[in-house]
Parts: sequence; structure tokens; C-alpha cells
Amino acid sequence: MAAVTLNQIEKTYPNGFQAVHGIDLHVQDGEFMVLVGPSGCAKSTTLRMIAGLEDISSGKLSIGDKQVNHLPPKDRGIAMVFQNYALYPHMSAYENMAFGLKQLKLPKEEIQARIDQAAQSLEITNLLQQKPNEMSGGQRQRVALGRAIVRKPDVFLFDEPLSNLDAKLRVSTRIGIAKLHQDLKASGQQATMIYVTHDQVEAMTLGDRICVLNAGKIMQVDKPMHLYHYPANKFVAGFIGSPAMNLAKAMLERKDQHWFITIGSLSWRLPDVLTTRLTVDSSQPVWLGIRPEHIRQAKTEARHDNTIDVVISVVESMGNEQYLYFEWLGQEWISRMGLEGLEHIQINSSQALTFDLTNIHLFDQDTEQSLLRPTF
Amino acid sequence: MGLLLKGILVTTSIQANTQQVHLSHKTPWLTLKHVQQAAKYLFLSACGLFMVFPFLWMFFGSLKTNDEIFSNPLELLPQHFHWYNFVETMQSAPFGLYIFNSFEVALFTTLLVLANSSLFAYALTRFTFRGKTAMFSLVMASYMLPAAVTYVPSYIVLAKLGLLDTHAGLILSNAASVFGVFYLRQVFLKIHPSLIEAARIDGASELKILWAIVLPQCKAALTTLGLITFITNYNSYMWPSLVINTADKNLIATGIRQFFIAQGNYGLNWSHIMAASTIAVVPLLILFMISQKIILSGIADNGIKE
Ligand SMILES: Nc1ncnc2c1ncn2[C@@H]1O[C@H](COP(=O)(O)OP(=O)(O)OP(=O)(O)O)[C@@H](O)[C@H]1O
Ligand SMILES: [Mg+2]
Repeated sequence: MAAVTLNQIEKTYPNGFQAVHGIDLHVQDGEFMVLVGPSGCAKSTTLRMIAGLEDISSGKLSIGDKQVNHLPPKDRGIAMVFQNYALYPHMSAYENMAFGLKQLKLPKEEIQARIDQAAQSLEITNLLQQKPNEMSGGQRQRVALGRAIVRKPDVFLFDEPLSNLDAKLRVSTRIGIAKLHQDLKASGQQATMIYVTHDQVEAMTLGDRICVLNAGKIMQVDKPMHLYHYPANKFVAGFIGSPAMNLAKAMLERKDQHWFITIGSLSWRLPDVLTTRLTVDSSQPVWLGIRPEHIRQAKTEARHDNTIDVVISVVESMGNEQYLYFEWLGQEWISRMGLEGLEHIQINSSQALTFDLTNIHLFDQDTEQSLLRPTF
Repeated sequence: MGLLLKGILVTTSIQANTQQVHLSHKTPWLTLKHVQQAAKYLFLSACGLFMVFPFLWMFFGSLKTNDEIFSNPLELLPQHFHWYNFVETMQSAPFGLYIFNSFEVALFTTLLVLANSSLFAYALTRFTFRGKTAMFSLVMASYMLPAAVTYVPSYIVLAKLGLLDTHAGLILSNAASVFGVFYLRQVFLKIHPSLIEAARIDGASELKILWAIVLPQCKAALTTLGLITFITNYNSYMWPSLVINTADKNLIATGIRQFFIAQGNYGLNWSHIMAASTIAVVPLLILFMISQKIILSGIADNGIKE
């Protein structure tokens, strides 16, 4: 049983640089929590403080119901999988996995049994006698995973475990990790997992919840779909989703009972589904956000005032969909279309595109916080 | 000797390579690259010969008569191989004992140097503590001191400890090596910190990490340091000759010197001196051949992908 609780955790490095600014995070027992954020946002620092590899400058860290600030890594009930695998190069896969268990002075048969079981589930039984330099990257990563599993930790910590793998392996290992989490749950070993990545696909697919970090602060903690549909601030809106959400300055205006969003020379009436979610009651400047999939090709029969005529500057075809880039109001916008438009759209062609106003996001220009209440 | 052999081996292997290239790729028989390579190996072989010559001179000298050694013109090879010189030499002084003494002192000194250099270097590279830089600077600064300056204080310390004229005294006074600390520190810095961290999470103590994770990856460096330390202490002359008084406790270098003096300045038997020196070098050569493999094979993949 091990929930992980970070209470006002701060980290100042010896050189005086404050990397983490008061993080509060509660990871439930058995939960898969993903820490995501741009490079340098202190994901690794946070994870390493949980692991005990880095001192905590201030705040309280608990694993289970114990405060562990001052416990050495080995007494925290954790296992860690490193980005570079960190396998002991002079030991075989078997010895790598056995090393930690030997420190626990487990009986030989127990060690053998645990390794056999882990090796079987990771399909590395035939690699057990090989040294790390005789293995491929994917195989090394599975051995590293095995080394974590055999310790039967309460908490698994992952620091970008897939970022050294090629695209295909990354997907299969990702699925392997998801499966591992489910299997452990099914077997009654409630393993909490904290997983650091800068890859939002990993974050979206793996996480029960995602914690978005920026510059050592938490931006939002939520379920993947909530994060996507109800970003709490402009940073999360721009960070989650690929291609990224379009963001532009606009004016939110109230005229009597109606709300309008004014952008450029256009003024659109906000649909009721949005106005009921508004957290403000007077006009103000805002950031307007709209995801690429919500800018669609206009249907010729129904042309509304939320349709604009643009010239497509770049077309990126992904096979199942395509991204259209265009200039409007002095900035670049992206629209994302399904297959149906594939034949028609060409570079430099003129297109009528419609903004789906029920799916826009609004953020305060100063605080950058969302002005729309989530609905779940 | 090794260098010479290597030169020959390498030269033959170039020839083999040239032929192979010639047959399989239909490239010109002699390209600029081949000439360059040949020149390179010729140069290396020449250097090797140059280095090995004194050794050969000593070895063949030990098989000559005293007159042959000074013959004019000089001959490298003796007319007759006087293998009996070795028997006579071994009978004339307890060289076996001296070699044993040298071996013993060098061995224990080396083990101590390896142990404390590793410990110190590990602390320097893996811990953060107050005054770490100052400590390292101090140690490095002591490297600048000429050895002769330390003789008197070291002698007094040994005298106070009652360790004069003992092998323990010799071993103890050479058991710390600044070079060892510096060299191992550089080597340890190359080990990726995540390996140490993984081992800490695995629950290994720092001593265990040093022993089971760090040192096995530095076999080549440890062997190199060990070899250098061993040879230095095995051949050491000045300091042992100050500390040791009892003839039976002499190391080989002082032993040969004693032998040399005992004969008086006129009746010097050079072929015996060369035989004694040859005998003294043999253990080192064997040691070198054994460790060469480890040194060469030691540059292993460290399992970390950057
Ligand atoms: N030992 C250190 N001393 C001083 N500053 C450090 C140290 N380690 C990291 N930092 C700084 O702390 C910040 C957070 O670093 P951290 O490694 O946690 O980022 P990250 O989110 O893991 O980034 P990445 O995605 O690139 O791995 C960075 O600005 C980094 O420069
Ligand atoms: Mg990182």
C-alpha cells in the first residue's frame, strides 16, 4: 500500500538555482501518474527527490503513511528505471536483476524464482546470461524493467524510459509498461507508478492522471481526456495535443445577454454551451484557443460568419489525415482534416474554413487561466 | 621484447591485409595508404627496437665473458652462450631471497595503494562534502614535492613507529599514492552516475558499490596502476637502501648493489651483474605479460547509451 504525497516540495540546487517551486501532488495507491512538461521543467528533479537520489530542500514527502524525506533510496520501497537503462555493464542480465535481491539477502531459490517469473513475462528468458553490451536497446530496457519488477517495489519510478528507443520499439515497450501496470494490479500487488516523459503521446496513453509541469511548478493534474478537453490554463492548452492548439489574442465582449468573441474584424456570438461555462461576467481581453481539428472545411450550403477564407501555405499528409497551415491575422494557424478532403486541398489553394465555436477555449490574458468552467 | 614481437606481428598482418585487399577489390597493389601504414609500422618497430636494445644488451651480456663485454668492436651476441654465469651468480649472493623480498614488499604496497586510492577517489567523485576541493588540491600539491624532501621526515616517522629496518616500514611508507588517487579519480569520473544511483536504489552500501559496481569496470585502470606501482616498488633503490640495514632484508636493487660493492671496484664481474639484473627483471616480465591482456581487453562497453 503506497500512495505518494508531495507536500510543498521545493528544490534548490547547491549552485543556488531553484528548480522546484512548492509542488503539491498526491499520487494514489496503484495509480499511474505521468509527469510531463518541456525540457528543463524539473520532471527528473522531482522524480529523483521521490527516489531519494536528490535531497529535498523543503516540504514533506510521504510514501505510504511514512514520511521519507530522510530515508535512503533503498528504504523507500521504490524501484527506478533510468533513461539510459543503467545496467551494470560487467554483469549478465541475470546478475543485474539479482544484484538488488542479493542485497536484501533473499534465499537463492527465491531470487531464481522471481527472476524467472519476470523474465518470462518480459520475454527475456533467453537473454539472461548475456551482458548488456550484447543486447539491443529494447532488450536492455526490458532487462532494466525486469530489475525493477523483481524488487516488488511499492512504487515504480520511470525517467523517460523509452526515449532512447526507436519509434516502433517505443510503442511496443509502452504497451508493455501499461500491461505491466494492469498485471500487477490484477495480481493484487498494487504498484504505484510515477512516469516522467516529455512525450505527450506516452503521457496520454499511459497515465491514469497526468501532471503537467512547467518551470518547476504544477500547471494542472488531471485525467488525460480532461486535460485535453478542459485545459486549465494557456500553457496546458498549448502543451497537450499535437499539432498544438491554435492560440490568438481576442476580445471577449458582453452585449446585454449575449457574449461575443471579437477577433480581427470579425465578431462571433458565443454559443450557449460556452456562455453557461464562463467564469467572468464582463468584457475582457482573452486568448482564444482552438484545436486544429475544430477548424474544418466549410460546408458550401451553410456559410456562417464564423467561416473565413484563407490561402493554404503548407499541406502535411499523415496518411489518415492531413494538416493544413495558413496565415491569418498575422500568425500561422493549423487545421487538421480527415481523409475526406484529401484530393481537393492543394498548396496555395484558397479554402473556406469554419471555426467550431462550441469547442473553443478562452484564457485570461494576464493570468493565462481558463475562463471556462469544466463540465464533467 | 613485447614491442619487438608486436612489431613483427603487425608487419606480417599488414602484408596479409595488403594481399587480401589486392585480391578481393582489384585496387592498385600499392596505394598511398599502404605506404603510409608501412611507414608508420616501420617507425614503430624502430622505436620498439630502440627501447628493447638495453634489455637485449643486458641479457646477452649475462651470457658473455667479462672480456667479450668490453670487446672492440662491440658484439651483441656472445661467442659462446655461458649459461653457467647464471648458476654462478645465483650461488654468489642470495638473489633469490632479494627477489622474494622485493616481490613481497611490492605486492603488499601495491595492494594497499590500490585499496586506498580507490577509496579516496570514490569519495572524491561520488560524495559531496565540505572541503572536498581543498582536500583534493592539497593532495595534488603534495605531488609537487620532490621525493628526496620527504626522506628525512619519513625516516623520523618510521623510527618513532619502530619500523626502521623492516619490510612493514617500507610498505607502510609507500602505501599512499597521489598519482593513484588522481588517476583513479579520472577513471571513476567516466562511470555514469546512474549506475551508482541504480546500485544505491538496489540497496548496496557505498563500499559494496565501489567493490561490486565501480572496480570491476575499471579493471584495466587498476591493472595499469597496480603494474606501475609494483614495478616502481620492486625496483626501488634509494629509500629501501636508507631504511633497510640487515643484509637478509635487502630488496633486489640494493642486493645487486651490495654484490657490486662486495667485489671491490677493480674485479667487477659485469657478466654476473648482468645476469643478476636479468634474473631480477624476469618476474616483472612475467607480470607484464599476464596483465597486458587485461589492460588491452579492459576498454569494454559500459552499457550506457547516451
Ligand atoms: N545538479 C544540478 N545543479 C544545478 N541545476 C540543475 C542540476 N540538475 C538540474 N538542474 C537544473 O534544474 C532544472 C530542472 O532539471 P531537470 O533535469 O529536472 O529537468 P527535466 O524536466 O528532467 O528536463 P529533461 O526533459 O531535459 O530531462 C533545469 O533547469 C536544470 O538546468
Ligand atoms: Mg529529465
